[in-house]
Amino acid sequence: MEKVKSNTCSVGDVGTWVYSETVRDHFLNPRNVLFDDAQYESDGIGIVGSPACGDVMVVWIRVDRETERISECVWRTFGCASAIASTSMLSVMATENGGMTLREASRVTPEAIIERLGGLPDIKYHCSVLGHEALRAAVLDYYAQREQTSV
Amino acid sequence: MHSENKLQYKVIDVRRDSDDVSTIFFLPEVTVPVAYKAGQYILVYFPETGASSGKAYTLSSAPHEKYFAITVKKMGVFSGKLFDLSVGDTFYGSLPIGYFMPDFDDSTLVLIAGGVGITPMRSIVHDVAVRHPERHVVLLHSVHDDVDTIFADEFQTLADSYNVRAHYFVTRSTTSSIESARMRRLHIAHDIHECLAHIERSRRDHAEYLICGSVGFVRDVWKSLTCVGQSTCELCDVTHGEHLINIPKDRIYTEAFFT
Repeated sequence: MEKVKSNTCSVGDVGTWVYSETVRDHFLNPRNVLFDDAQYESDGIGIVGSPACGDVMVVWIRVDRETERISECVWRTFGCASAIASTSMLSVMATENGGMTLREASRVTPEAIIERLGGLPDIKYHCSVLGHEALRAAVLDYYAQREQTSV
Repeated sequence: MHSENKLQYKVIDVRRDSDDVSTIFFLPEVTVPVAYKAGQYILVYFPETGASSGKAYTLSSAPHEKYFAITVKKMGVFSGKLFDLSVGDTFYGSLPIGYFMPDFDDSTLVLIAGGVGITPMRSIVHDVAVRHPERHVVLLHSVHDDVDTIFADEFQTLADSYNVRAHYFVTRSTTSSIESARMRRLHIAHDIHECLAHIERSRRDHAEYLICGSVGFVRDVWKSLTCVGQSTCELCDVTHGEHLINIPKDRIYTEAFFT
């Protein structure tokens, strides 16, 4: 019997794919996970996906009011390795180098996330789509909350 | 009548664009108007195919038009069911959703489509022609052959009256009925510079780029676009001098079709 390579996954009829070391790292050592949101106060929250689809992502952000940049981005994801790695990497991208502006955060693309991960199999593209939608939803929630408090 | 958060839509017309592409015209069966923005999509539901969460289809109709339309390429069971719809048939779909659209009203629009990725672009181009007729729109459409240029006549009509220019890149044929078509693959770094050359520098720098197509197409174009503006481009080995175009990453929006 041929030995399966340690970084290769063969699943049913979808063929084989190889995860990059970055994907493996972010799946096994995810950054910025929020395990208990009971006491966490966020400036915006985005929830996308559904258990029926197989992936659910929740993203919480805090925004620096002076610079209007993302100061914190934490998350929790129910999903596959690609979904977890995508959200983990997105949380890093959102907060590095002083944090993304709100516009940058609302317009980060799946391609940018995948590039930072070193690639994802095409069949896993939707995992990065959910990530960018969750962050956009959190930004929109921040704007909505800000409008409500300013009335 | 609808189930959960889905609307029932009724087919009012069907147009065969090619052997495997159809445009389905439909209207929601509700008493209140359903508005949408150019570039948005609906989720179509055919649970009997096993796709319980529905599949996304971009609206090729423009918001000011009196009907909804999606343009479908028959590729499998689900798309085949849509393709085979007839006038009078009904199906369930979501409200229009999505953010694949410009953020600014005055930017130059650069629309890059691969194959059936042209569908949201049709909606956007028609919408811009009505709401912002002075705006510059440059469309780059990569197709296998002329059969895929389903909206070419419409874009040409718009080009005659508005600041719309459509460029075609035909990759799997040696001939095209479109005189200006380039019989080769799209070379982003080179072609972006060439296709935007007629637009003044300040307008070129205030541009938004929308890319739609297959996952591989969108990925390759996105990578190439993020290369444009650098003094040399590793992907195409081209050196650009004074006409560098600045393309911030947050001005590049993508929508990929994945099956």
